[in-house]
Amino acid sequence: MEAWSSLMGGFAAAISPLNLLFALIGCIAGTIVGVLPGLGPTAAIAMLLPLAALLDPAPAIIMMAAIYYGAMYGGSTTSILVNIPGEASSVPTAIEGYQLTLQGRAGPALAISAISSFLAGTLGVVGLTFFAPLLARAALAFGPPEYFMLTMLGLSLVISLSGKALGKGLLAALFGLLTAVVGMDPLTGVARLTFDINVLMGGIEFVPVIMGLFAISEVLINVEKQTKYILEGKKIEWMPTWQDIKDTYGAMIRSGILGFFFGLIPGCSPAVTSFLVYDMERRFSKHPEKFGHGALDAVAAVEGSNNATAQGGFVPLFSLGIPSGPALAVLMGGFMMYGLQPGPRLMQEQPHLVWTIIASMYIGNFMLLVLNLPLVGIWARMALVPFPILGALIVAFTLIGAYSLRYSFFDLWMALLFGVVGYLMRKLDFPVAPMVLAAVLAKLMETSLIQSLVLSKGSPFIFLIRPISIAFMILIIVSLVSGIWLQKRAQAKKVELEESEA
Amino acid sequence: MLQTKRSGNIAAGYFLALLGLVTFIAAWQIAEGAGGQLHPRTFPLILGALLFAGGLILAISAYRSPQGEDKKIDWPDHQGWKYWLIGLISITVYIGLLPILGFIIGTLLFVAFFIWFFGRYKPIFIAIYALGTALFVYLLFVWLLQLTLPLGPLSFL
Repeated sequence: MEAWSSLMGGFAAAISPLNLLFALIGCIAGTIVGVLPGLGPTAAIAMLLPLAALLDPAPAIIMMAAIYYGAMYGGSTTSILVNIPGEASSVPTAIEGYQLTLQGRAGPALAISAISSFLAGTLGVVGLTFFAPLLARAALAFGPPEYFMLTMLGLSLVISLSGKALGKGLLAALFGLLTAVVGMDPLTGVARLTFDINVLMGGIEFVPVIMGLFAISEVLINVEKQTKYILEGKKIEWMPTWQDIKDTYGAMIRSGILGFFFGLIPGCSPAVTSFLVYDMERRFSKHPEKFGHGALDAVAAVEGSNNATAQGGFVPLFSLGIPSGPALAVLMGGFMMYGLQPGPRLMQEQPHLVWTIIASMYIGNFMLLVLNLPLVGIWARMALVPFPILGALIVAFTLIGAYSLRYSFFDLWMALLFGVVGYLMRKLDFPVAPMVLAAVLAKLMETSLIQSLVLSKGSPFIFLIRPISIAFMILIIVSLVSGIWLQKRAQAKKVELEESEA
Repeated sequence: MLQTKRSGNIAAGYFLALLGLVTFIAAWQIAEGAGGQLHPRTFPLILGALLFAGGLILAISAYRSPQGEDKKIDWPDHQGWKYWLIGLISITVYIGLLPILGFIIGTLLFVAFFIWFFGRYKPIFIAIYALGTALFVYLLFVWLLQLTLPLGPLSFL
């Protein structure tokens, strides 16, 4: 009950006009940087840090936090509309959401993703409100062996992501791992597979790779077909029906809870959460055959989990002072500019500030919903733009986004190269999702393996003596076995169907 | 050549096997890192070997699959290839010219060309769209978000 009264105190402070204004500014700025591919909350928060010199801590930090979780709302927009996933965690959204756009259902997909973001985001804030000190310890229980097992669990999803083409999915995953190995060794800094080419020392950034695989290859496919409109002669739905919401609310809640827990783990890539949630929903779904062809519940789940993960990240930040990603690290810089050190002492010394920020998150999430729902109609009209114009804009914005990551022209060439690779993969029926997943996980996988072995002085048994690591191992085995079994069953069914048709 | 999924799989398999082989050989060149339980070359070596084996398996199993029954790859027709190539070249030229022309002029020219070639709109529309996009890029990325995009001749902005 103590949390309850503190929260009420927080609300009283958060609804002051100044705090509301800066929450709104943060929400708008967050939505903008979230929509633009390649740009993320990190740069936006960093840009606004100097404002701290002019403002009190509460409005400034409220605004920065709003940019952070607001960016998660915008992230789905370009994935759904034009198949540009701005970051790895939106890849499943692009896979399912873009199919919905082609079916004239961009409106429902965008609206459901906003509603799911709101619901799961709010669930995340509830978790933050009532369980933060309790759950903070979970973050500490995660050492290198747990991270390694988590990445292996992520990789086990390759099987279900590959669909029918398991062999090709595995090859695609290997190819993805290979792109991630190029460059400096994560621990020792030794050059690997760079062939003495200087620019390769920095490695191949995966965001341009993803943008190429999805956006550029999409443009190439439409160019060769001389597409006039991406949806031709189909009727367009602007808003979801009640049935859509009924069909997806389970996915929103499940993904909200799971996403929140994954958010507690510092350094765990949000992409892992997205793919795990995506896989979970396919297993729970009443119509798994829709997955890959525009499943609305998948969009709801992935976008929900992104937001819940963002909120979950505040738990280790507030209670331990551990930022779980680059954006939260910059946000922590915001605290420090006021001489505040996030962590257990902050909760004791400045409880009022912390609770004001937490209360503002409820308000911010609501603002984002109100802000984003009317935008759906405007965004959805993008599907009506003739392809020659849309295609030009897709290329231009993809390349600007890819460039703004590291300010390197090399990344643009990578986006183009992987655009052609993605084009060939589509023509030859190689699934793209396993490659993305592997490319994202590779660094964490190798680093955590090496660190684990350093911890154990080379003994691989370290993975067998830690409870969380063992739990993950069991999950991996269950996931692999059930994945293969589900596939065998689906194949048997298909053969049966074909035989009965013949 | 490469008309069917079978031949496509053979080609893709050989390509990946070759890539694996190159990786495997190149991985031996990787120097030793300071202290660590795992040699920096271990992971690339395993990857190279797996890619080589996996690629070969794909190629051989495709080779052994019956000929003539499988589906055709959905390649574009002659006209389609022409458009595909022009699309690809236009993006290549766009990226190539960006360091010289900067993002605003480069985007203006690329958007104008792309819309003109694939859409055949009236020049006035093309001019409006291209100028509008360039202005939007400037206002949003340069002015509002303060990204340090190279602007070429427009660097004074």
